[in-house]
Parts: sequence; structure tokens; C-alpha cells
Amino acid sequence: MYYYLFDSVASDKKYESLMNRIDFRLIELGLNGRMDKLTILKNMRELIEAAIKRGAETVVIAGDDESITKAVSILAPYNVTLGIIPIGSNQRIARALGIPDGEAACDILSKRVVKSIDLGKVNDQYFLFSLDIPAQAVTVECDGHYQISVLGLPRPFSICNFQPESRSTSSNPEDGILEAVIDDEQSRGMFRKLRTGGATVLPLKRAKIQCATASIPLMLDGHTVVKTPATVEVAPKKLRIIVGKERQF
Amino acid sequence: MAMFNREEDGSRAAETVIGSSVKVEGNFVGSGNVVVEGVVNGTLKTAKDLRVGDAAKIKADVEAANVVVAGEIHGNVKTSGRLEVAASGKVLGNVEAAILVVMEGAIINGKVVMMKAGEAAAAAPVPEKKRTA
Repeated sequence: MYYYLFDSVASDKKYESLMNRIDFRLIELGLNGRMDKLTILKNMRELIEAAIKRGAETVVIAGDDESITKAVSILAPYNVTLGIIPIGSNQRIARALGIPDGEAACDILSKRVVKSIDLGKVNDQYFLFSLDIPAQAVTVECDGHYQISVLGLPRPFSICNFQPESRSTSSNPEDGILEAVIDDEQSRGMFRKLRTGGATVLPLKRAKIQCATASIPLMLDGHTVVKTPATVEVAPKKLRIIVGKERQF
Repeated sequence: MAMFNREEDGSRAAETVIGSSVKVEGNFVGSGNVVVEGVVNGTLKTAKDLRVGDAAKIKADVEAANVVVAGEIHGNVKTSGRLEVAASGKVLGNVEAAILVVMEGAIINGKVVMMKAGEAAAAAPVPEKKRTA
């Protein structure tokens, strides 16, 4: 049973025609299901959890990167499959998963190529791409065996599960490994380009992050904040997700 | 050097890279290729190849399939394959290798034990290189 949750961006008038085409295509493909729209009165977590209680086995998020990563964290504990219909301008997740824009995404849902991918878990939250640590004097203890620290001035770094634009061969959400990444670039975002000449890349499965002086905020996938001390670990094959042929893994 | 050709031509990056501004302390055990440009204290082991950059400082016992040293290692080095110490390289500790290449200007202060050919798990191919007198 399918459940469709349309982000508030889908309510924009400029997407009206696209929304009609998507509706029509889903009916043509026989992928009918209950549909809800997010508004300021409707909370994503409540809607998704209610749908799962009613028996939804596939939850399709129609929206952009932010709504998708929020949904990932909500869906992770449940045995459901995530589908995506990209709507809006920030669509790097859909690109990485090989999902095209517009009604063509409905065909990907219909083909139903499902992959079980790893997630990162920090305290009780999940992330799909990365946990960002600000430029503070932190120590990161990895796998209980060694510690990483930055020489000289503190520098921001990340614990990454999947980096679709990275040249690292470990950038694979199916390998059961996270990577501690410290690079030289000043501007940072959810997706950074690594220059292997200057970047540190350390594979790990579990890490403890602590700051000696204070509790500092860590950012999950660019939108959710957790505080130190934090324990990050890989959750192997945690999320089932419908992907396209052009995916980057 | 054949061992890192795949990395140098960009077709496959090293799996672990410890950059010049990073320190790793403790027992690091990897399964892939490792490149060290920073500081490592403790022990460092990998099943594949290790390259120690010219600015790297390692205070650890090191074990890898093949090793190239262009920086400093204060500790013992053990490899079932090839150990190459570049002109800027220093190994202050004992060395065990099946194949040893020491460039002019390199420093090794310790016991050198050559492993028998049959003990080498995976020897890398040996290109023509200068040897010390």
C-alpha cells in the first residue's frame, strides 16, 4: 500500500500543472494510495506514523532534499520502503539515487528497484549523508581503538555515510562503513567535493564525539541538531529505498 | 611506483588518507590502502599498501603488504612485500621485508631482516631503481 506525502513546496502555483501530471501518471501506473499535503498544521512525523499504522508499506515523499532527509530519519525505525518524487529546486539526493524530475519519477516507483542502504545513527537520530561537526576543539574516538584530532587551529569536519560527489572509493551507502572526513575547504554544505590531496578520509563503524569545554551542536544532513557528547555508528542496510538505474552507487 | 600507480592516475583513490593537519593516536587497523601525510602515534596496520608522505611523522610500529616511506617512522616496519625508503625517508627502528629499496640519502637505523621469498605473501613488481652503494 502506497502513501504519498507532498511537501509544502508542492502547493506552490508554479507546480500545479506538474502535480496534475503526477496524479494522472500514478493512476495510469496503478500506484494509487492515500495522499496528504504538509501544512503548518500537519506535522510530518505524525502523518507518516499514522500512515504506517494504517498499513502503508511504501511512503513516497514528494519534495526536496530537506523533506527527504527529514523523512529518512522518521522512517528508519520502521520496516517500510521510501520512494521519492522530486519537486522543488534542491534535488541532489534524487540525482544521487538516479530519480528523474517530474512525472518520470512515477515510472521509477513503478519499476520498484529497491536497495537497502546504510544510514548513520547518532544518539537516537538517523542521517543519510553526513553529520557535520563545527570547528571546535573536539576529540573523536573511533571504533574504540584510536582518536582523531586536528593539529593547529580547529577545523570543521564530518562523519559521512554517503558522498555522491566524492572521489573517495568508500563513498557507497551499501558498504557498512562511515567515513570521518576533514578537508581544507572553508565553505561547507551537505555535499562537498573532496580533493584527496588535502582531505583526510578515515573509514570507521563507530565514533564517540566529545568536546572538553562545552556541549556543542552537531548538524545532521544540514537540518537536525544533536549535542555532544554523541555516539555515531553505522546502521547497515537500515533503509529500503526505491532507486533509479542512473544512481551514483 | 607500480604500487600506487592506480592512485596517481586518479582512477582509484586511497581508501584511508590521514591529511597533514590531522593526528591519529592509538591502534589503527585498516583493510585498504593507507596514505599518511600527518601524525600517527601508536600502531598502524593494514592488509594493503602504505605510503608515508614526506611531511608525515609516525611514532608507531607499522605493518603493511607494501610500504613506501618518504617521511619519518620511529618504530619497526614489517612488510611481507616491498619496502621502499625514499631519499627523504627515515626509518628509526627495525625493518623486515621481502624486497628492500633504499634511495640515496635515505636513513635506516635499526636491524634489517630480509624475509625469504616463500614468506612473502604478495611481492610487488620491482622496477629498475638506484641502490645505495
